[in-house]
Amino acid sequence: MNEPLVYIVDDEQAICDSIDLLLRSVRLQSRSFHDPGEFLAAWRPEWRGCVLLDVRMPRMSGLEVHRVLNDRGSRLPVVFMTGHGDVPMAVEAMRAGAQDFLQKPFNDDDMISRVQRALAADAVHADAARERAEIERRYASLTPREREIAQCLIDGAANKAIAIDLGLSERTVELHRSHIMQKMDVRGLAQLVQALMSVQAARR
Amino acid sequence: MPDSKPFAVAHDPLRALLEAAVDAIVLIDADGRIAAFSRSAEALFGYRAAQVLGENVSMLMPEPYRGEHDHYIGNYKDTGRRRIIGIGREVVARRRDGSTFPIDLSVGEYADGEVRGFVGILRDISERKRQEAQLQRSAEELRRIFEFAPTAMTTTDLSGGIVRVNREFADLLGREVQGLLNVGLAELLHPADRVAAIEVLQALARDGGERRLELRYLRGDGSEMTALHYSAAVTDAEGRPQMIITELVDRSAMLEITREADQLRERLMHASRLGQLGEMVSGIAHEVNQPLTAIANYASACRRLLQSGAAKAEDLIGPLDKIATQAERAGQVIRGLRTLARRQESQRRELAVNDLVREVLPLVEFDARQSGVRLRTLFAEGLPTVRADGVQIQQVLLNLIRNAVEAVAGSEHGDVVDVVTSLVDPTRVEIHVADRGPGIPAEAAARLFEPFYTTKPHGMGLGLSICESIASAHGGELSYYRNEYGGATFALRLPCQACAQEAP
Repeated sequence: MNEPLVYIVDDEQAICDSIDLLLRSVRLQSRSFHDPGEFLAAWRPEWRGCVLLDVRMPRMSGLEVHRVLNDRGSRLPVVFMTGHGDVPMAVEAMRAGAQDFLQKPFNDDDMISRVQRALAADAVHADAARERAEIERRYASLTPREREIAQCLIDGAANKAIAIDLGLSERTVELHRSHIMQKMDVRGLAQLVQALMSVQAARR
Repeated sequence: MPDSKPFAVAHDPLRALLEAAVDAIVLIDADGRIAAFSRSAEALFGYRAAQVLGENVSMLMPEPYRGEHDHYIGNYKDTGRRRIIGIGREVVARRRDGSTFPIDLSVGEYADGEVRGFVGILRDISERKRQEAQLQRSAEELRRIFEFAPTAMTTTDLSGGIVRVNREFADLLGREVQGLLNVGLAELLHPADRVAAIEVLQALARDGGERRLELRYLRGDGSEMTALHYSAAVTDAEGRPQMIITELVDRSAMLEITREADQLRERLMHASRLGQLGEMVSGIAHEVNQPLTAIANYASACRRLLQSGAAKAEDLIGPLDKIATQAERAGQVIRGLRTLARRQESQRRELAVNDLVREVLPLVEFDARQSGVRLRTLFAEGLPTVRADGVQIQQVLLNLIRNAVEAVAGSEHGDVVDVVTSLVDPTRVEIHVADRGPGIPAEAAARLFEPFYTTKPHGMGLGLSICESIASAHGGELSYYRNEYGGATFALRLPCQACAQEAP
């Protein structure tokens, strides 16, 4: 299990160090990187939390780091840190899907609340992802025949029609249907449709 | 008219004398009548002897001598007082054609029994007179040239006493010509410069030659005047000094112009500094913003930790130290900025070049970092100080370092810029900035320090030319060479003062 962390990426040691201390004062854990390359090399898809990313860094700008993260399918919310006069960069960052941006020097309450918002957004992502994974797992436990019948149910067919289509007795179809409901942990057809739709959406 | 008939052997010695003497000889009797007229007298006066014999000698004289001559002879006869006999004098003679000319006349008396008379020996001195007049004119011309020359001149004897001064000299010093004669030249000088002047004059009096130096004089009204002082010994044929000629050139006007030029240059340097700072301002703002951000973060964290009661006092010492460090860092940037932006009179102080480099680095560090360039410093220990205007030297450094960063930014050659201080020799300290960029093409390298020469699309072409003028104003030099990495090295060399003391 990955604990949520605040990943700080800034070439300036004092900035990383001071943010780390500030976050610790509200019991938030962080990990600092002074080099964007090192950060990207260390990144793992399962990381949870958020990224505090400096816009201006030597060799590689924060915007480029963000682009690489997006390309890799990272869902970590990114909060940019900008200096004065970097507003156009901040606008570009937001367009590229950044969570938020902070102007240096920042107000501590403001910074902490934005970080917490980013962490919350990540938590929502994480819950949703967990839920999706759960549905996937349940769906995977269905037998091929059950999946076939489930698809028919989503398509809106009645038990009798399914029985005729598949050459089964209506009683057998009813039995399968009850197993499907049980395995997918849903009550009623509406919930089943929703769960299966989300699986299919994720696959598409 | 000279007689061209062949020279006949004379019958007696007197005849021979009259024939051969170069000077004209005229004998007269006691009454003044011409008794003999030598051949050269014929040539001198244009009369044949036959034409004048028996005539009164006064015919050879213009008025008023002509009318007076009988009188002279009469006087002598009466009084026996010799006015001319045995003495000789310059008188004027008259030719046959009426023209007159100066002669040297000597008169003797002769008596041979009853025959008495006088002999006159005459020499034409027209030529000598002409030469004398010429000489006098030359002397007068020279005197006038000296007198009215537009430069101040004086001649002094070998002990430094003023023999002659011209009007310009007196005017320049606000004194009267008469009041300066026989005064010792050194007495006119500012007391602080007297010894130097006396030494120079003595050396000239002893060894000859010429000397040139700058001396301060005191005017009649007590004000001070700086003059360029050219002195030369005038020697006799054997090369022994006879007197000393001195020429003064008032330097006040030139000093004034130089000062104005200096002020203009300083203004230009200041403008160029401001221009440079303007280009760097975003980087510098960032450079200040970073420590401020860190300070704000540390301070907020400390407050929160205290409020939550989660921290003990000693836990805060670390963050507080860091706050102090960051504040110091921000302060350094601001200080460097303020120094460079300030407009001030050029001030020379004894400065350590390593400190000058250290102060400038924070201002360029951001640009360097942003361009992915590493600034490396290598400081020589125990360097002597240089007497310099720190701001101007830092302006040069700023220029060189920024150029170097620009040269290597984005190049594959290497991303290091070295700033190195060293002692070149006991009299010179060097600061060089070396990059590993592509170097400067030979054509551009030859024109590097020319004003308005630039290879940059938006450059004014003043940066390096200003740097070069700063270097030379400090008695140093700025040079370029291609280093072993093929990149550019700019070396600023400055004369150092304290070498003698510091050298082991």
